[in-house]
Amino acid sequence: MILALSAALVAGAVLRGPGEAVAPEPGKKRVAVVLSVGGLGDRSFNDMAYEGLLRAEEELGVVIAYGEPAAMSEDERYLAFYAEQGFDLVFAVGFLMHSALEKVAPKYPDTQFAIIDSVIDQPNIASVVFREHEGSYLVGALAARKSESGVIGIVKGMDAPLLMKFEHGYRQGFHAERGRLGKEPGTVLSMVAGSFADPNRGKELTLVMVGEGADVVYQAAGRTGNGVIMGAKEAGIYAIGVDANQNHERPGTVLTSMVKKVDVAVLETCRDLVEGRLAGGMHSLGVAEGGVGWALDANNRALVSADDEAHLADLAAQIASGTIVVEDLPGSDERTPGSDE
Amino acid sequence: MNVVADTLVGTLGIATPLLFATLGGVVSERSGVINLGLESYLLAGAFGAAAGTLAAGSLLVGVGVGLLAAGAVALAHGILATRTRADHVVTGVALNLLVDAATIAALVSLYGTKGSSPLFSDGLVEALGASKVLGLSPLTWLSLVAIPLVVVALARTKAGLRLRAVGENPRCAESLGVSAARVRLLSVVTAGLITGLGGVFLAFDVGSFSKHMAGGRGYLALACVVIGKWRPRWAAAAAIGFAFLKALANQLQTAARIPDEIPRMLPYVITLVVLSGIVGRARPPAALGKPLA
Repeated sequence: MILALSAALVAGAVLRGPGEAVAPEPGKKRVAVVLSVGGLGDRSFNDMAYEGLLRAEEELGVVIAYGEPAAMSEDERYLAFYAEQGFDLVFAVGFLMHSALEKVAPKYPDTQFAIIDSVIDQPNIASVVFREHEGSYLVGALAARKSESGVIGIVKGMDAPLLMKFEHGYRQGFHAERGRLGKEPGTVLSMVAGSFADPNRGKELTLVMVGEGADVVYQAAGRTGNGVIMGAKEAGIYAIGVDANQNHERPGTVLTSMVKKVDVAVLETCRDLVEGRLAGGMHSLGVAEGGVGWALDANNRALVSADDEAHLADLAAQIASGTIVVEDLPGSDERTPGSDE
Repeated sequence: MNVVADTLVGTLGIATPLLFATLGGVVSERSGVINLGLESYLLAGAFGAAAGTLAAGSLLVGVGVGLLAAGAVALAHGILATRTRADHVVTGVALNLLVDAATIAALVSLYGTKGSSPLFSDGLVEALGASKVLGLSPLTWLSLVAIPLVVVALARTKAGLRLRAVGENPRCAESLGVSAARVRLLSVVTAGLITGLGGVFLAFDVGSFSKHMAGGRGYLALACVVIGKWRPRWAAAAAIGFAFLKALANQLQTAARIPDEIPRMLPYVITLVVLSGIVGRARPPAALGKPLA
């Protein structure tokens, strides 16, 4: 009975269509966003992409639509659906959609596609990636200013090149800032959880690092990171959030968040479309473009002194102008698929 | 820093959900019901604990709702296992998939998100901290106390004797006036309640529910049941042993860089070795997985 029921559930999910067609309006561009598995309500990637789409509707007057595939195997069908409908621009949100878009795009050479967080070399695909190492440098520098022990840590969801990029920037920011403060380089502990969905494990690892003296822990680990923040709260140390602004999750514990502005990426790509200068190729968003940064709001205001704030603004300006060059890792734009679902 | 003490505290934290699920697994399997559904009991317990706590603002209500949710899932499982001829392995796996999807659907309808529930308030987190005894959650202490309780209940009580009799030879038990179906149903529900406590621990440990959070612990517990050859004390020892290895690997990760995959593989390798009969003979309950006529 349960088997039949779950079979029916699965069938229901598969048969559900990509959504209604949106009729073209004269003189208006039409933009569709196909979200990653998980869909709206993830308080992170997908929600930010949707936010950017809504802003494009409001600020640029484009007609919008979005689709939420129930499984990765559905991605292709959703992308093709909007291309078939004659949309001017179709977004694939997240590196998990890399191979689906790679297959669909050549079939619709007149449709413009964009993929977030991955690079596909095809003439009608704009690839939008972030320079996460630059944002990580900034939060690493703030960690150096707040750490009393000189030991900080990072928990990564898995041992993937993309996540090494976060760690690499974080380390550079921490050690450089310690140098500017006239202190010895200090220690950055790094641990891999092996999962993006295991908060209990995130907490375990955080407490191990606390045992080794860490007093700031950064996480690039999805929901595993929720446990990092809880572990930091229990141990009375600081955590650093990632991707979305997580400052509100535990005010007083979350020192800041390394934000990756997917909303800005979607909005700016739509602006390029409307203004007729959208082209294929790679578009890299870093500190200079406002694509990555560190979050300061009412929730962490008390943890960041005016001095810290001014100094980080100065560092950000130096990164933007190229005075400080944060080193990337070779090969780190090769995303490892299958990290979550 | 005291590495030995850290490793021990780490071990007991990792062991807690595993111990509950392992003891639950032993209770179910000794009555003859193969239990691949432990993962679903953990998930239901964790979800119930988070939802109850968030709704009432009380940890005790959370424990109650967590037990209720896990017990309800186990009741459904028990009915399938005793009233139908459905294959135990298939129903267990189907239940895991179903509860996994159901918790996500409930997240959407209760909180409008698909990833994780809202976080417990700072006040509740402080209450959790204040409830600790010698630095450990009361649930951790309970999981340790549960070991001798299950050992004695199975070995020395009338209910335990009946449970084992049904697991070995349900017809013989029936001929002595014991309802095999009822005994199995009660055993599975008991397994659900014990395992549900492990789920409650998972949610309380991080102060929220997040989807898929059982993370394979139910399957690992089943491996412990097999490695312990269906005897509660050895199954519990296996659970604590694996938790220790995991805690040790965590401690060593920053220094020696042992890939996480090795401690994760180990239990299943040992399970296969035990099942293959290389080290002694693993004798499951004779009527394990056999539907009642």
